[in-house]
Amino acid sequence: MIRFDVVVIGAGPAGLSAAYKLASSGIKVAVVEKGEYPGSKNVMGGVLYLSPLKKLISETIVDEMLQANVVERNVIEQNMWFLSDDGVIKAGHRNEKWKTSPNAFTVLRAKFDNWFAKKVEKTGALIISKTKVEDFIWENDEIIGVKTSRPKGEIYCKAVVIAEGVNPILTLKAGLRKRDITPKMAAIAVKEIIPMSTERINDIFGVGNENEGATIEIIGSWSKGMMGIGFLYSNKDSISLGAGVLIEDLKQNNKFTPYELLQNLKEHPAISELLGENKNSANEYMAHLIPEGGYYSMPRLYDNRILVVGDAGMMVNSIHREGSNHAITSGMLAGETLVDAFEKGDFSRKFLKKYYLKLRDSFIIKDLKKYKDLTSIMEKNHQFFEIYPSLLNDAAYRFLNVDGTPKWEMQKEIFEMFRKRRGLIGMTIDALKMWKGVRG
Amino acid sequence: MRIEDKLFLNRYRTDEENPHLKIINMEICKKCKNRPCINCCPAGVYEWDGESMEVKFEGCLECGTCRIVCPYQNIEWKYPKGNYGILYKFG
Repeated sequence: MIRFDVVVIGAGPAGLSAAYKLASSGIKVAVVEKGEYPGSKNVMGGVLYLSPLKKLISETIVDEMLQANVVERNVIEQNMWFLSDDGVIKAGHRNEKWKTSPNAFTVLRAKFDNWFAKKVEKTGALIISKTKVEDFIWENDEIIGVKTSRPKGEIYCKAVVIAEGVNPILTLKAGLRKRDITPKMAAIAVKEIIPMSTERINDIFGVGNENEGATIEIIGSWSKGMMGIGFLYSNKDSISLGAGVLIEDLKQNNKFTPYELLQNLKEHPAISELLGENKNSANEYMAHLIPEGGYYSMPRLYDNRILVVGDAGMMVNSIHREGSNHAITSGMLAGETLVDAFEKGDFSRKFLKKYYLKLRDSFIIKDLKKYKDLTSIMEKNHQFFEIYPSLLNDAAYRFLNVDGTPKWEMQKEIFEMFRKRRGLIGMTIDALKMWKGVRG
Repeated sequence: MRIEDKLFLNRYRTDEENPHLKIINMEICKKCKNRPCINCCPAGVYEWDGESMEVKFEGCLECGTCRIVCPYQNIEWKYPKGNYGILYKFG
């Protein structure tokens, strides 16, 4: 009989963080991962925030990551683009401070997760790859282990951490979620890795070397009115170009496939020219779901002998494209809670509630609560993704196009444009809705 | 680029004997009005030939969209067994 103190299901950032915390405190942990190696099934847009990793491991982790060459570029500039069919409004922020004190790196997960897993192994955890957890082993209504896909693959343990990602297959089996997630609770994002020379990337983003880069988030015409965000992130010698839309919108629209929407984004003149001759080449094509349901879509995060972390707990703040930080922090807090549980010898639901209380006191649940209504507001109000980006572009074009029209008349024309296409009452209501959603 | 060409970029280890996606009851697909699985799948796995749903599970990216989007929960959706299915080089 194989016995561990804790079994962690899934070697993504959430599961690995939980395992790191536990193993460094001397607890015997097994991380079960279905991929060939940790990272081989894992996808995200590509922005990894550093503060949670520093808290989990140490302040020097950033230098270590750079030395090990497992990250792409330091994000020293973040942009937001609003597209109309033929135009773009660009807003962004660059800061010198990020050069000396990095906030986030772009990463490719196959590489990064594999490195992170090796780091976790060094603390004494066992990573069992190529192995799928099929079900739980129960005794008197309590989970006492997991059944894996290996012959005689039962592993018994005192506690389980579910870090299975966005599809709640095992969370449902554990009874922590009564119903499956719905098309309103997730976006489907597709992404291509487009090869590009380091020099060209440096030129495009105006950075001095291959260690610095930028991110661009893109809203507007490409998503055909659906709630969606595109992204373009700079890696060392490639670009991560992706497009994500709410599944409910895609289902209602029932005309475009996710890859056709990505193609729309690629064909936009501003993106197409940025990609240049590399536009039609790619190294890899991937797809992944992003939790969008926020606070209301969360499962129960704790029960006797069990905790849920990361995407499995729907802990993503999609408005700020934050997810990896929620994953790492929730994993760490789950680990801390279980370390206490081992000290007290108490794995009851009552004791493990501590994990939830830690989350509640952290940015995770505070932010999820703040934006709890924003997704549903956005999803019901497609003008935010269609009319406004195009209106902004047309207004800017009208204002900046010099053709002898007096400025006073131009302002009147622009005002008329907004009045006709959205209406004064519509705009007032939209502003209030946005305010309500963002203020929380 | 066609979707087939995109999928061709990827590395898979296919478990030919054990399809991890199955239509539970084809009669339900026949009656399904929009068949959203076809349009929503990012890998073009589902194809309706007029009579039945072809499931090209070999190209599946394991995202779970079809599982969520099927109005009748008519897709038996599992991850491929350990070490099989999509294997990303970049991710």
